[in-house]
Formats: sequence, structure tokens, C-alpha cells
Amino acid sequence: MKENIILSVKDLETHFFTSGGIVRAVDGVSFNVKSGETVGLVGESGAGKSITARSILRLVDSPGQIVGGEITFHDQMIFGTQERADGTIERHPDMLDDETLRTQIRGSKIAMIFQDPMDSLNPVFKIGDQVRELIELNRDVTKYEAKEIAIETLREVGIPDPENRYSDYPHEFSGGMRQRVLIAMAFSCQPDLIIADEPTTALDVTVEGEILNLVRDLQKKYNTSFLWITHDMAVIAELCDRVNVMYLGEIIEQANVYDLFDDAHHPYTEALLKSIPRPDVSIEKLDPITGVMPGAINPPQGCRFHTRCPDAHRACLDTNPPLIGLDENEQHNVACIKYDERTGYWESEELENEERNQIKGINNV
Amino acid sequence: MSDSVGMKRRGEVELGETLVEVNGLKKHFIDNDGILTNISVDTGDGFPLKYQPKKVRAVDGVNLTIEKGETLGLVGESGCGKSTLLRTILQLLEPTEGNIYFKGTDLTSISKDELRDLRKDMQMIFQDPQSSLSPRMRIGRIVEEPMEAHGLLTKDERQRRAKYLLEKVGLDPSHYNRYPHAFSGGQRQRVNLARALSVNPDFIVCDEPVSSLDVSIQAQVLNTMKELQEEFGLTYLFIAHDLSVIRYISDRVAVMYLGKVVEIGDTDTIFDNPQHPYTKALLDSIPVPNPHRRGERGVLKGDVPSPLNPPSGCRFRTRCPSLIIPEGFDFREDEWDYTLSFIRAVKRRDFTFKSRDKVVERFFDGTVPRGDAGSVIDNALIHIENSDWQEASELLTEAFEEQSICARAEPQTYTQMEDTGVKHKTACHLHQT
Repeated sequence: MKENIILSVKDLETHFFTSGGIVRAVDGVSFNVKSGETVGLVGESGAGKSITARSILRLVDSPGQIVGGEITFHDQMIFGTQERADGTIERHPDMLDDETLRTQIRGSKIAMIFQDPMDSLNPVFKIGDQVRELIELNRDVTKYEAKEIAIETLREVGIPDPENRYSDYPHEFSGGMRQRVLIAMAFSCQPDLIIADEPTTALDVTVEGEILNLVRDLQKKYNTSFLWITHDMAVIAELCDRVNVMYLGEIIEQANVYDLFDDAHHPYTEALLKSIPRPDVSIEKLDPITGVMPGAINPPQGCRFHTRCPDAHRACLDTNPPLIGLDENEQHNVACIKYDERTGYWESEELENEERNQIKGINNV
Repeated sequence: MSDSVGMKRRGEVELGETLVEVNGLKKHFIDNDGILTNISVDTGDGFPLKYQPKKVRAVDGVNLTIEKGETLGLVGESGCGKSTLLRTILQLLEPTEGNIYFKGTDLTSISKDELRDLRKDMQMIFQDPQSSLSPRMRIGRIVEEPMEAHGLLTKDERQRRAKYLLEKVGLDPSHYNRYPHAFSGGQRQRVNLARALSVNPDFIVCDEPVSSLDVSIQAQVLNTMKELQEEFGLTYLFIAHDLSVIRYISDRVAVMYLGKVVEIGDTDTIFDNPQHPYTKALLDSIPVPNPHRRGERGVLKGDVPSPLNPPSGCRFRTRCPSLIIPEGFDFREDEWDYTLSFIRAVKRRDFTFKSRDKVVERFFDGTVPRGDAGSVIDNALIHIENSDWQEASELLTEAFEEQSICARAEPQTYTQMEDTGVKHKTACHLHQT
């Protein structure tokens, strides 16, 4: 099984060095993506989903910085560190330089689709020419051939009348159509991996439905892998094979999509599933998670979710639980001490609400 | 009702009676896209230029009633006129035609002063909690301001009521002196709720109030809104693009398409037994948070047509999967379905022409329908072969789509009484018996 892992992220740490302190946006995240599968990254805003995605392409801008961990794509090291003799950390010599990353990985091997298509399209160039240019740069074809391919690609993603719409400008397209253009551009170089950062969040439900179907069809056709970032559990259910749930810079549960929905183990995942209204069944009363997600500058000590967790015990304050496998193959992993008998969770007493509020501000360093 | 902090209730309308009635409401905008766009050449006698303003028919003949104490959810894709309808009901936009009765008073015929006075009974909550709060005002003052504007209560009483309401919406009253930036999105939306409640309204209009919030926060705010509704006997008119939110919060649901209400009824009926093809398609196309139901979705193709020039007859007919077979053609059921998807594919230029046989194989399962219909399709295929897509599309549309009853007549509204005693209205030709 090992050989078809195309992207592996290990202990990734991306921090932001602000005047208010160090924001640990991504704090020790590990997961992988196999060939042809869709991996979901789900969580609330501020959980660190987008920063994780941007870190993979080294697109994090100052004051943010990747400070630790290892990112490998096929056998190329996108990010890595090694220890010097004196104990300090330096860049790994095998790490790809900026030039190689830009010309050989970004766009051609790993493409990215963002939430707002207008951020990625140039408003003063024709839609078709923007697609054509990309094809011309990355494939060995003439300008004329590239135009033909561009029109076919636009048709494939469902742009009506592509021969004529080729010469339209981005503002003449609806939001859904623009997102289709970006999907066309992402697929046009036939990358191995596409990172999609909430590409359907700003769209109408009907358009979202169409785009999800489109992506699934294209994925089947080209055997492309996806890392799909969203806050929407319905999109996860519709699209993903495996899911990583993030909370405050950490992955707190990973499982295949059926296990996650049928048999969620982490109290956060359970609570998240209970707090979403459903279009398919009537719910008398939603059971929301109490409180808001604390800031990432001073995350709560111990388990970061304990301030909002309905099952929090005193032992949850002691250690920040690592991901542990619930099965032998480590397909379903959860970061909660409830499932580790050695932690003394069941022996310790329940946490009162007042106590949580007092403890909330204390740093875990 | 609990009104410990100094407001008398005006109980003119009892729970369950009609609070708002909208009759034949229309709101058209003139498309002011430059001075010359509305001028056309008149080839007839007289002055050779004609002023013909283009009208955007954002809301085009809406009838609704809202009962006191209920939540009416309003759904539809972007561009269906939901927000315009809301703003017109509140008289923030002047209606082009029609009447709005609030507690029996026609809002379109009263003076500005009378309207201003009634305004305190109708409040609004917007989508973006950030931009609807002044960043330079303390939240206590924000909540007090509407009371002050309407000259209600004394200064001390207002302050007491503001604190009482902050607590009611789930905020800490001791945060009275903080500024909006100190609060999260969910908390800001709670401040908006408290402000709306300050003048003790009957009716609150909510335009996507939870769309910008995270799921866990969204659930908290929705629950608070439900609790407040029960406690204060509030009536909500609620827009959300998220149909699951609508299902959770609403008692009744109205489905809007291109300026018209196409179906309205009890929430469970609309979701479990929708009658209008648009409602069906809309519900069928949304992703459900259940991986076991993956792949069961249908799709609703295309965008909402422009309200500048809406389709004749039923406005959904250009996308409707159940378009009625035009009279005079001898179609089998499956042949009509094939033809319909062929017409739409030609319109969208969804495919490339390689050979006639390939097209016939793809759309008609190998054989073109017999008779008159067949010869029209054959002609269209010849046009396509000559790369004249426009001609082919016009020919097919004229011969088939525009002959259907759906294109020739506006559908009437058919009312059905549900077991729950709620009227279920559908505007579709399929329901003509």
C-alpha cells in the first residue's frame, strides 16, 4: 500500500510571528494522500485548514513561516529540516528550491483552486486566453492547438457555447461559471493532486451540486487526487474517501468517510455532527457545541478542546493527546484520552464549567 | 408575556392571525445602464427615436400571508428576488405595484410619519453582522438607539432594558460598554438581535442571518432565535440559501423563482412531498451530510434566466425537466425526454458534431422520433452539420418548447389543503386537472 501515497505531511508546524505573540496556526499535523483519492480537511474557521493547504505549496507569507515537519510529494521533498551538530535546526539539503517548486510542481503537478475565483483570474484578459496561456506554458503544443484544447476543456467543465464564451472577460461570467473555469485550468495540465480550498462555499446550492458532480466525473476520468478543504459536512459526505477533522491547529480525528459519519469517536466530531441542521430530516432541537474556539496564541493546556468538551475530565488538562489508532491498521485515529486506558481519564473527576473558564487562559508551554 | 423591563405589549394581532399580507406585489427596476441604452430606433411614423426603458422584474406579482408567531422561510437561487421582496415588504424600496398590509394597515398608502411609527414593529437583521454595527459605538448604545429614535422610555429605563436584552440574547450584560470589534461573529449577530428586539417588534425580517457563521455558532444563534420567538411571540420572515437551515427554523416555506412564488406550504410537506418541479429539482440537487446517500443527487442545470427578459408562460420552463409535451406531436414519453435534452444541449452547445449517427446515438438512443417531430429534428441536425447552431437552436425552440402549454400560458395557482390544515399552493401547469 505504501507505494501509492503521493503526498505525505508529517508533523507540520506553521506559525505566525505577530506582535501579539506566536500564533500556532498549524501545530503538528500529519496526514497523507494516496493516488486517485479525495481527502477531506474539515473544521471551523481558525482551525488551520487553509494554512495547512498553503503550507503544502509553500505559499505561506510573512509573518507566517513553516517552522517544522516534513512535506514529501512523490519522492521530492517540498519541505524538510535537519538538525545541525550544535542542535539548531536548518533546512534539509534535499528540499526543493523556490525555482524548481514554481516551475515543476505548482500548477503542473499540484494545482490549487481557491474560494474566490476572481482572485485567480485576471480581470483584463479574456477567459479563453488565460486558459490557453496555461496550456501553452505547460504542454508542448502550438498556440493554435492550445486554443483548441482550451475550448474543449471549457466544454468539458460545462461552459455553454464555449466557442463564443472564449472571448468573454471574467466579469461577464457568473460565480459558478468562473469556478468552472478555474476547475478547467486546474485540470488542464493534468496534475497528480489538486488542492481545493472551499471552492463551492460562495456558490448557490444548485451550482454547488453541479460542481461537485463535475469534479467527481473529472476525477474518475483523470485519476486525480484531491485534498478538499471545507467546513461543510455535506460536501465531505458527498465527495471524500477519507477525512481529517481539525481543531485549533491539530488533527483530532481521521477516518474513512463512512466511519466518520457512522461512528465518530472524538467528542468534537460528535458535537459537530450533532450541531448541523439537516435538509433530509426534521430536527426538533439542535444540540450546538457551547462556546467559541479559543485563540491559537494561547491554546488551552492539555487537550485543546476541553474548554468546550461535554466529556471533559480533570485528566484532560494534563496532556495534549496524540492521535492513536482505534484499529490495527490505524485507519481510524482519534486524539482523545477517553480511548486510552493508561491515561487515567475514567478515574479522574468531571470538569466543572467554572474551572474550565479559569484554566482557559493559561498557556501550555 | 414577560415584560419586566418596562414595555407594554401592543396585542392588536393574536397569535395565529394574519400579521402581514402581501397582495400582487411587484418591484421593477429601470435598467439605467447609460443614457443611450434605453433609446431605440422607431421605424414607424413620427419621431424616429423611442424611449423604452428596460425593466428588471425583480419581484413580479407575489402573494403571501404571514401569521403572527410563525416563521416563514423563503428559498430560491441567487437572483430570484428574495432580498428585493424582503426590502419591498419593509418599504425600504417603493413597490411598483401591489399592497402590503401590516396588522391591517396598507403600508403603501400611509404617510411617512405613520410609516415611521409602524417601523418600530418591523425590524430587520442582515447577513453581515460586522457591517451592520457601527464600530464606534458601544454595544449598549447600539441596542438603545432604536428606542431613543422612537422616543421610548427614559434614559435609565433604556439602559436597563438594553442590559436585560443583552442577557436574553445570550451575552454578558456587563459587556454593555464594549465595542463591536471585541466580539466574535456569532456574538455580533446576537447584538443585532438585541437591537432588533429593543423596540419590542412583532415582525423581524432576517436576510441570511447565520450564513457567515461557523456551523457550531450557527446552531447556537438559531436556537436563541427560536427561544426568543417563543418568549416574545415574534414573527420571522427568514431567507437562507442553506436549505437545511430553512428546514430547521421554518413553520412554512415559500419557494421563489425569478420574481414569483412557485410553491408555498408547510415545511415538512415542502421538503418531503414537493409538488413544483423547481422545488423538486432544488431539493434533489443539494448535498446531504450522509455518505450513504452519495450519488443519489440530481442536478439542476443552467442559471436563472435574466429578469430583464423572463421566459413567457411559466418562468421555470427553460430549465424544467417536466416540460409538458406540446400538442400536435405524437411523442412517446421517452422520445419527448430525449428531444428535450437534445434541445437544451443544442442551446448550450454541449457537444461537438462528429457525425449525424453519433449525435442520434447519444441523444435518441439510435432512432430519431417518427412523424413531424422527426423531420424538425432532422432539419436541426442539418443546421448543426453546417455549424449553424443558432439556427438549429431557434428552430427546435420554436417548434417544440414554445408550443408547450408551459410557454403559452402563465400557470395558475392550485391550492391543496394538507392534513395539518395548512394550505399548500403550487403554480404549475402539471396540476391543472
